[in-house]
Amino acid sequence: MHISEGVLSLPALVTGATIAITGTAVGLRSLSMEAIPKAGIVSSALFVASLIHVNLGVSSMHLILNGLGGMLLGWALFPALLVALLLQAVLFQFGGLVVLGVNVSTMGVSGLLAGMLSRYILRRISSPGIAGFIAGAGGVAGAAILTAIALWGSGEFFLPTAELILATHVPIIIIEGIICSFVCSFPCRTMPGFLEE
Amino acid sequence: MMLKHQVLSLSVFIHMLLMVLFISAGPADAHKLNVFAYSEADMIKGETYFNDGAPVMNSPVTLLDQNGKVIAETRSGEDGTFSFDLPKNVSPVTVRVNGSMGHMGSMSLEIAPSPDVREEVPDTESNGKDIETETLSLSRADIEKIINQAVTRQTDPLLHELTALRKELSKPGVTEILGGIGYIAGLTGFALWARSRRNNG
Repeated sequence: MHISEGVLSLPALVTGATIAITGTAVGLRSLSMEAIPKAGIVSSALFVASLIHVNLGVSSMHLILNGLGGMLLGWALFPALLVALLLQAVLFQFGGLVVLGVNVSTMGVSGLLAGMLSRYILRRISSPGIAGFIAGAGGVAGAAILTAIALWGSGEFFLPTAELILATHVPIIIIEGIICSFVCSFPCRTMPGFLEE
Repeated sequence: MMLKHQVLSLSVFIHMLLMVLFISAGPADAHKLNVFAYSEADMIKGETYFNDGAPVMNSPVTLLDQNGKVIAETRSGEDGTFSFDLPKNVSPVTVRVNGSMGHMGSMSLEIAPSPDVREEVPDTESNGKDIETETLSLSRADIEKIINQAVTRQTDPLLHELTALRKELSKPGVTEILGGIGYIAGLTGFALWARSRRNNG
């Protein structure tokens, strides 16, 4: 889901950077002393997740875990994501420094929304498995749609791009949903307080 | 509020997971033995040395085919070099050096198909006159073509090797991964420290 350097137009880059800076500022403000270690762990997980590739058919995709991050951190997902993506850009040449803002926005906004939705569902039906699945699957699906919007803002047609990105990411949407479902249901049983901010 | 021991147990769990992942990723090389081999004309030549650059002296070197069958055996010299006759129609081959005391290193090598020299070059002994006229009749373009073919044959394996190396280098290594995680741990610590200073006045 990393958009490469040199693909996007200037307005798209500026919009992405603005959203990323705003999100990071709100996230840092909301970050309590107790949540800092949690943010660090989520940041490490986001950083490493991109290295776990799932080979299916012709394409090879990797985990993102942005929905899980949004569920665990809320707004603090933005600073965690910023750090993880910055290190990925510098160390692995994934994405790039100029498009960092856009990549943080596409994965951050979708992760935050998917996380909020899954928390809401968890409160209503108290099934961490389902809530986790929605966080994982929703995070990837949302990131795919937002990536299509970013490309659309740079001159590509929206619908074909969105369809293509979504279609190729269907397997990873399902896989990430299942992984997050497991990740959520285990700690909910063993450490019930872990979702509290 | 998230309890401290929960944070701790979660981070311990993740670190243990990562350690298991990386330890199982590759065999531990306490004292690495390097092998470097290449094919040249009708020989396989090579050199073997420890990771500090010291040659692996007088050690058995074996040449294996694809299925692990031994094709040839020799010993490395005082300077760690060795050579084999080029095996016919076997590729890829593996050169394995047993440096004793548990040191073992190997390298696999692509060998270009051996040129059928005899078919291209006319019989020199039977009619020397023919060869002379033949040589003279070779145009500049012909010679260039032959040289190009020969050079390609020699450099092809090297090119393969280079491509493989480049592919290997483009993958993120363990150093980068662990380095990145280290940065994040450091940043977390920094954030905690800054916040605690503010809280304590």
